[in-house]
Amino acid sequence: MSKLDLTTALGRLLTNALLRSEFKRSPRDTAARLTLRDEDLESFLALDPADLEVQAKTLLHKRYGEVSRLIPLSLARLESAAWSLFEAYSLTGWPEGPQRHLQDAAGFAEYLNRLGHVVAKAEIHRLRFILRENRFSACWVRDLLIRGRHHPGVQVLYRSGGQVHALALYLRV
Amino acid sequence: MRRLVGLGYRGELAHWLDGRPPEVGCLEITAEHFMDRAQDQLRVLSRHYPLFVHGLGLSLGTRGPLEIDLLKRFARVVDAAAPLWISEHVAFTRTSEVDLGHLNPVRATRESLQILSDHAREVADLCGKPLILENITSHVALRGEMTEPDFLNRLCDQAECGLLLDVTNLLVNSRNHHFDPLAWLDQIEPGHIVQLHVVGYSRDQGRWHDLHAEAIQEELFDLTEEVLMRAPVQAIIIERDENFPPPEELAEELRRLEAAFVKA
Repeated sequence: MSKLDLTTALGRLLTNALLRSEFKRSPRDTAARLTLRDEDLESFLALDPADLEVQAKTLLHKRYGEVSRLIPLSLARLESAAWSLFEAYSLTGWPEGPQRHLQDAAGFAEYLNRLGHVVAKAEIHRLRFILRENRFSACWVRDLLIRGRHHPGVQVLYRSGGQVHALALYLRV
Repeated sequence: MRRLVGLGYRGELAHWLDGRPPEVGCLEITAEHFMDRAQDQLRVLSRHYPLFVHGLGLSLGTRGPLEIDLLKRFARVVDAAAPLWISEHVAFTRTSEVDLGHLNPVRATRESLQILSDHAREVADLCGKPLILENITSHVALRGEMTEPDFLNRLCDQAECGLLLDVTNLLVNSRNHHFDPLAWLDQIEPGHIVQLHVVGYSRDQGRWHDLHAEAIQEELFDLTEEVLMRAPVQAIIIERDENFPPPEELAEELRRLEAAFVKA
């Protein structure tokens, strides 16, 4: 079996809080369990657990930034709890693939739903539409964003020329 | 020698840039921002500004082959933008197991030199443009076989590329890892430095961060002047990503950098 190089080991540490805890308790045991290459062992053991935590948080903040661009209203409703909820959600895994930010946002929204938080239906409808690659979808939502204000109405999404387009049908009172 | 001062192109700045402000002499395009979009906009921008294409996710420091689909998409952006040169980072953003989504440090070893220089040559060859590589900021310090400046000098020689010196990253690393940025600078071969990045740093809980969200602080202007006095820099880009100020504030930063060029 080939041994792990430092870059791959660092990748695991930075995306896995449990592994970082294990490393903090015993770097040597963690190195043995990961079967690190001999030439990388000294560097691995010299890693500072506090530095790893800050670097991991930096990565998580980048991930959160991508999610917040996709479901801004849902996160705004959580106010100051949004970041700590995202941190807790991130323990469930690390997103992969070209659509990872979309999947991450959808996964976080589902996580919030399970916890009883109200997520913006218009944002979730749009995410699911993009991920499922539908050609057309319409959904009644309460949070259509029209000129900076939210209205109840029908959100219509369709694809044309490879792009996603949206229409909003609502009653102006 | 032509010397350019400009900005990283961001959607938030588009309206201001449409007015062709005289302070903006060039633009840096982030490749990943244009991979999933129609690229006509790049062709329009390239008619009005000298462009550079900057990559974030090619992960040149990862062992094994580059992600070919991503590289092809990067090359398509380069083709549409027709930049003066292209740039990427001395970093890894993914491993064979996981995409970390952001820049992480590589260990300064002969093996890493080989990996990075092979990948750098492949990118430059495919895109048909000169490539420059950027120093990153990292909270993790990796024990290597050589110092960072020595590593960067060797990398530029081996890959036949230039250095994109991020002045903010240098200052942030020097504060977090307790070294003298001028001593670091003294060890860099000046002829390697082609372009600079600069943006204000942030501070949180005793750490210095490169969040691209603050105005350029005085010590960064000072450090930039130090670089300009030592190296034949051809371009400076302000890399603001968040917390955008009114255009006049960015214009003032650009004027100060232009003046620093003249002074040097």
